[in-house]
Amino acid sequence: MTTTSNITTQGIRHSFSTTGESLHVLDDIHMDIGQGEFVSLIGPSGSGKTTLLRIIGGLLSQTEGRVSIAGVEPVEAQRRKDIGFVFQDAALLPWRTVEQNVRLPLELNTSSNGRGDAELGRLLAAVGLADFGNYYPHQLSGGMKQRVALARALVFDPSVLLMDEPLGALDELTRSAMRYELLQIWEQSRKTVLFVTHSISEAVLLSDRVIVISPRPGRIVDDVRIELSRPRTKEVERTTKFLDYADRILESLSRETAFVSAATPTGEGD
Amino acid sequence: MRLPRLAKGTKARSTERDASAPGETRALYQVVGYLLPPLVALFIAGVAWEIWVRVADVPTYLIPAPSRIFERLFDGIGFFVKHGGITLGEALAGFALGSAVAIAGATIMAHSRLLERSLFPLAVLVKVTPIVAVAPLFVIWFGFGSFPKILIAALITFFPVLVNGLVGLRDVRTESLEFFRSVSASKREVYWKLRLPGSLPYLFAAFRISVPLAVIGAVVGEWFSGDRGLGSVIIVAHNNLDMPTLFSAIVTLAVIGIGLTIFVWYLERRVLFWHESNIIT
Ligand SMILES: Nc1ncnc2c1ncn2[C@@H]1O[C@H](COP(=O)(O)OP(=O)(O)OP(=O)(O)O)[C@@H](O)[C@H]1O
Ligand SMILES: [Mg+2]
Repeated sequence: MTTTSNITTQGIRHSFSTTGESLHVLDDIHMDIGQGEFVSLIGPSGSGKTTLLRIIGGLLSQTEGRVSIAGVEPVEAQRRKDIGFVFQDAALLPWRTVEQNVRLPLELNTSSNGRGDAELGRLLAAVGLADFGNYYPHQLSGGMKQRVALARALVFDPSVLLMDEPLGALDELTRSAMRYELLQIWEQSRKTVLFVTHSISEAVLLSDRVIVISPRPGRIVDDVRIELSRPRTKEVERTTKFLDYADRILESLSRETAFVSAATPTGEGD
Repeated sequence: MRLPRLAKGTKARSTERDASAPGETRALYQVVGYLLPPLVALFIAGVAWEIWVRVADVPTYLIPAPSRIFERLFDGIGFFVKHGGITLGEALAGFALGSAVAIAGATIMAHSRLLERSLFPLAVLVKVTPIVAVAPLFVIWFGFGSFPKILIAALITFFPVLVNGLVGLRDVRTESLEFFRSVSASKREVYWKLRLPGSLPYLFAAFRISVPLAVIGAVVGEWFSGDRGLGSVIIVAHNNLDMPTLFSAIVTLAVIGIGLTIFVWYLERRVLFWHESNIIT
């Protein structure tokens, strides 16, 4: 890990004003995420994680505070194709094949760095969809759809990858397999990743750092550096170190929300 | 290798060919299964009609027997094909014109609430005005040629396409929209690559309604002017109490309506192979 920071936020505060009333969602968020770091955001539902991700990705402007991505404002970073987004729902276009979906960002704003078919093929292979380029989304499983969404986010080779519960809609087995695939892809590309999840073990397994957010208005209540060696394997999930990290995060979450510990004794949110 | 055929359901490419043969046979059985009962019912009704007309000795100038109608139809097949073709052409031209204007209008309204609020009531006004009331006007304004008929067909086509187009263009998943924004797509790109293709299921639902309406529009237009098309054939036959010709014109119109409906249905299956309505069969 290099020390240069890639994503920094300073005193982000956000309120939604719907129907006259103002809803305070994020409060004083300071973050400093290094180049190539994998950081997870974890926090109760409604704590503003998606909102924070949308602000950092330039889809929403914050009420207060500053965000910079590689030294520029999010909207500018977006224009430079430096941000890749993966949403909880793959949001693929059903009338396009896998390959055409992945190619979509390249067809927009034709000015930017285009990739050849060979590179597109390599990208599909990297997410394990080499043979499915001509399939349509309705012919894919949920896990495959998310892999297409990941490939689509990577097609510009952005330095920042923002992922909002990308594995949330998957069943437990697929989900756990996808974690390792994600790790593998990340280890090859070393992008800066900001990853929202409800699963504590997922956060610990994947991340260099886990940032814990309080219930609304969301504040950072803990920032845990995960010092487990990489590449991470299934075995790491059973080490005491791993479980200690999970315990600590659960602790931080529970301190803020009494019901979290009662509702999720195994430490798995949702 | 861009094969929309793959969409037909079978996943493994290697087995697709083998699987398609029994699949097609099944589809054929399905079509026959759909068509046979109404055809049999129609045939029985026709036979009953024939017997009734003969037994009760109903005069031909009131209700002709089916045998008389088909005799007239087949004797004058060239005549009915010619006039049917004219009506069909006007209906299709009107349908194309009305749909194009409606989609353009929906595009404008989908992008501006202000324009929607100012233009939509005008569209409603056009819709609630009975078409039969404006038809004579169009004849005065645009003469006796095909144009007023095309215009009437367009007018009657317009509204369903406008309403559905508007809903369709607006019905975009937030996440898709966010994705387009995240790669800083322009409004134009969002329209062409997301909104318009996404509105196709709605547009086809409208087409199914407006295609037969366009035929009605053309026929109504022909009632009021000119000596071409099935509408004028009906008027002339009516004046002469020539029931076999009148009924033959009606049968021709029915055939046109059924043909167009099947065509739209077929097109929809081809274009919307990715849509839920076509996946589960
Ligand atoms: N566009 C919006 N307009 C108004 N309020 C919003 C909007 N988006 C989110 N909110 C509100 O902001 C709060 C935080 O929402 P957000 O989606 O960021 O939570 P989250 O942490 O991602 O939750 P979850 O874990 O359930 O996804 C919620 O109370 C929500 O009602
Ligand atoms: Mg969320």
